[in-house]
Amino acid sequence: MKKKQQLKSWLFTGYDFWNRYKKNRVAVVGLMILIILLILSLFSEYIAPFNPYKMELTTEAILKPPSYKHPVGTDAFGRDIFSRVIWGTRISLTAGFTAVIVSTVIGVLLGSISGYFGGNIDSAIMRFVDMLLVIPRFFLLLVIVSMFGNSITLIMVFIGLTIWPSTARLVRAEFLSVKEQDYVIAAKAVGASNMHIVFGEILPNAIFPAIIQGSLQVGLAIMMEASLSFLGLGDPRAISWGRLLSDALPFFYRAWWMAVLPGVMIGITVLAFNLIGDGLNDALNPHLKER
Amino acid sequence: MRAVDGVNLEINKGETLGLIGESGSGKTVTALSIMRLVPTPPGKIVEGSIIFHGEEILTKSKKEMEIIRGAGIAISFQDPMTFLNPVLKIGDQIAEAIKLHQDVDKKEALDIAVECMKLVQIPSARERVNDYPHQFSGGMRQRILIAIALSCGPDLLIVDEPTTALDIITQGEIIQLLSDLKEKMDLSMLLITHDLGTVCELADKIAVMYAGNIVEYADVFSIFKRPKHPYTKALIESIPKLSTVSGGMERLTAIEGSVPDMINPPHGCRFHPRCPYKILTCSTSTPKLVEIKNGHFVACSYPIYGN
Amino acid sequence: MRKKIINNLLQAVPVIFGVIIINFFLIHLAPGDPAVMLAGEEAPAEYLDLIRDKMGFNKPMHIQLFIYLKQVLSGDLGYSYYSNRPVLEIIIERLPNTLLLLGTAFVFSILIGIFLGIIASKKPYSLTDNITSFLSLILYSLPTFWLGMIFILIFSVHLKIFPTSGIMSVKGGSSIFDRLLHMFLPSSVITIYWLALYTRITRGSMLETLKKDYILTAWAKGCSERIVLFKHALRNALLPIITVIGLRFRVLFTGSVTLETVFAWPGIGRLMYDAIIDMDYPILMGGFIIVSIIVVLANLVTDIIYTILDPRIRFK
Repeated sequence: MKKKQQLKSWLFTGYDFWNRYKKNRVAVVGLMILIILLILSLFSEYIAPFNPYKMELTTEAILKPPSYKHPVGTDAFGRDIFSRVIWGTRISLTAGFTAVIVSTVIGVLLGSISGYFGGNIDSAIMRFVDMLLVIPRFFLLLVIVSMFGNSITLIMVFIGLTIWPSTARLVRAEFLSVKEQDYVIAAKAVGASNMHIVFGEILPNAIFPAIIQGSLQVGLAIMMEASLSFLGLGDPRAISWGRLLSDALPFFYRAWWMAVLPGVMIGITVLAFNLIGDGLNDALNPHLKER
Repeated sequence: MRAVDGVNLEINKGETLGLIGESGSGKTVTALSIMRLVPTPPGKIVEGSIIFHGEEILTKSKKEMEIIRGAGIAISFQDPMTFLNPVLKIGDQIAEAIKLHQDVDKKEALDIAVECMKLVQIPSARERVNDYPHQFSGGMRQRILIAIALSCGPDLLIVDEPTTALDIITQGEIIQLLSDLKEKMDLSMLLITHDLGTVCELADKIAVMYAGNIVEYADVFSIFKRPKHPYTKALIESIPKLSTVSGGMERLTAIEGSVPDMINPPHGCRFHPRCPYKILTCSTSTPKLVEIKNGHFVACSYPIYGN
Repeated sequence: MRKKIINNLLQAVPVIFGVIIINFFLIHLAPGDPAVMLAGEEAPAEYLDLIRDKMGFNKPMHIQLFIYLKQVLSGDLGYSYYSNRPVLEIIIERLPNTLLLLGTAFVFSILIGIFLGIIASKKPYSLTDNITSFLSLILYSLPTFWLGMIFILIFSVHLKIFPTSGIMSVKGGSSIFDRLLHMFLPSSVITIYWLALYTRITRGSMLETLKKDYILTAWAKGCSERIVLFKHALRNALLPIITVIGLRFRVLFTGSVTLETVFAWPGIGRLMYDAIIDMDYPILMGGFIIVSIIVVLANLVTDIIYTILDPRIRFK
């Protein structure tokens, strides 16, 4: 019986949440774009007209301008760029999500510990976080990736390792403010254990800003992966939009079409996540928005 | 939503009109409307006229209003914490008003500002003129707001809740200050407050506001001794009194109910749901402000007689 | 106020130490021989031994750390084995080019951004406002290096107004006009990107400030719209804007790596790109340290400016 009631209350919250999210129309557009991107990445094999790896090294096939057969032309190896862009969606989305999951897990963990226990632990962790928040993330990423390896999995983890500090800060702030709230003191007075308080009372509240931050960070992570690939530090086996742009660089005097679509895709994807992040923010913090 | 509906006020030279009422009754909106400071989306002045020195204010241009504000009509706001600009020196803030309306240079304006500070009894005015708002106490900041308002010698001074944000001792000081200024400068003042103690010390006439309407308007003595509107009567009675005669303590009488929702106000008289004297017509017809005795106006279908 | 400035200075020092320590651990945690990493794959065995000796690789960890700290703080960032020169020297040589680019973009984007933001705040939620907001959002989502490529395509290749790359013409010499021509496109890309952000931030901050009570006081005194906006609102709205500017310093340098690659601009960013290709780790690490120090210093300056501008902090 209890499970059924719990499910019902979750459904209600979900329905209510969707109603509030719907109000921001551009956020809904962002969500739709994301769905399209997800479809592209999951079903690349069926959607892309050509095999993205297949090269055709004849002079008639390489560097061809857009045509009916090749909507955005071919690259220096005769590969269809349109197909490569579609396949690139998978790498970008995977990289974005994975990096943010890594970042959120670490950030929530450290932020919670810091915020809940306070004192010396808090000071130590926060000093570390403050330092990481000042240094240029991308430079650190360059050093790490070039020294530790550039397989796509490693890259995703490393990106996550460079962006967790802001999440940690946020979660800690939530913990600090919620810790003093009445319902937490009440729970303590009734004798609830630390564990129960953290997971039952504080964390459900603290997780929301982390989620909003996460959705905004996906765009950042995708941009970082694209930049890495553009500089040649990406996984050489992966088809990434950044890599497509770096392929285009030596040729774009003659073959401008190589550069256009990959960059547009990056922009659209990052934009979508920015919009979704905004929408989540409005839906989860309705009292902050003012018209 | 009509925040203010059917307000008729008149202030003569040297007179102090007290505008009393609960929070949310529309007092501040009335004051802002007089100076046309109500933000025009979303607010709007729908009907009526405001006459200052024989001229209609509502038709004046933006530039003309800028001249009137500060020099013709000036207002001192209620919360000295938030109504002073935190990044400007207070001397500059007072001098700004002076420079806008008088033809003086920077140094002269600052000298006048110091004089204004002395006028409102801020100690060490000359030294403190370069200090910032956060370096003053609440009472001092309220005086600064009054100084800004008085700096150009306005014909009408509007004082919005001068005592609300202050502790009781400082309240007394501000009331005393306003009383001294009133005498010294022969001020015409519109005093807005919900504190009856303040108003009975300073005002010559009183207008009682409820839910956006003026419900009673008379000289201060009549209001306090012979209130004709049930709301006024209830307000007067709700003042805690020290009863030395009966030797004991009285129960505080509160007015039943709460301030009406301004988006859907009650039909007829807006006070009728809370009125102990209501009759049938009170819920159907809206009473207008009529003069029932010389200079004493009431908006009530069944005003209180014979006290 | 002096106390606060000293406080800020003191807080900056551990960060710089932290950066160097991070570098140290990266050298030792990375797969491969640390000596090879510092000396290069082609280094002869004697040289490797020299490095091991100098850095104390056979000594306990904390001694090594101390040696490394001492080294870096005295200015020895190692040698670039590709160009056979001290890393610090190379970096200092290239730094001004990057600063030139970032500096001009910084100044222009702030000035224009704040100006546009103020104008946007005068008519919030209007159609123009919404359109400009959305356009800013789009601009901010596009990768800068891609924007650079598109600019080159349009303005250099097609319209032939600007040169396609580099800091000066091979033939043109070093006339100022020539420099300006070369600088225009890359600088514009960065400017436009940051402009979008600063416009949005300014608009938001101004809207928040204009709601404040003391603005009403200003109107009540008879101030004109210009005075209210610029003297009363802007002075207060600037404070959060300055905070944001400070936060963005580290990302400013980030963008330079990819952008300088696109434009073949001989700055630090391009240096990092070359170092990646050449696997020249000392330059990568040296670049990381130097840029970190610059960002820390820039943050320090921002904090000081904020302290000066906010009298509530200046006079406690």
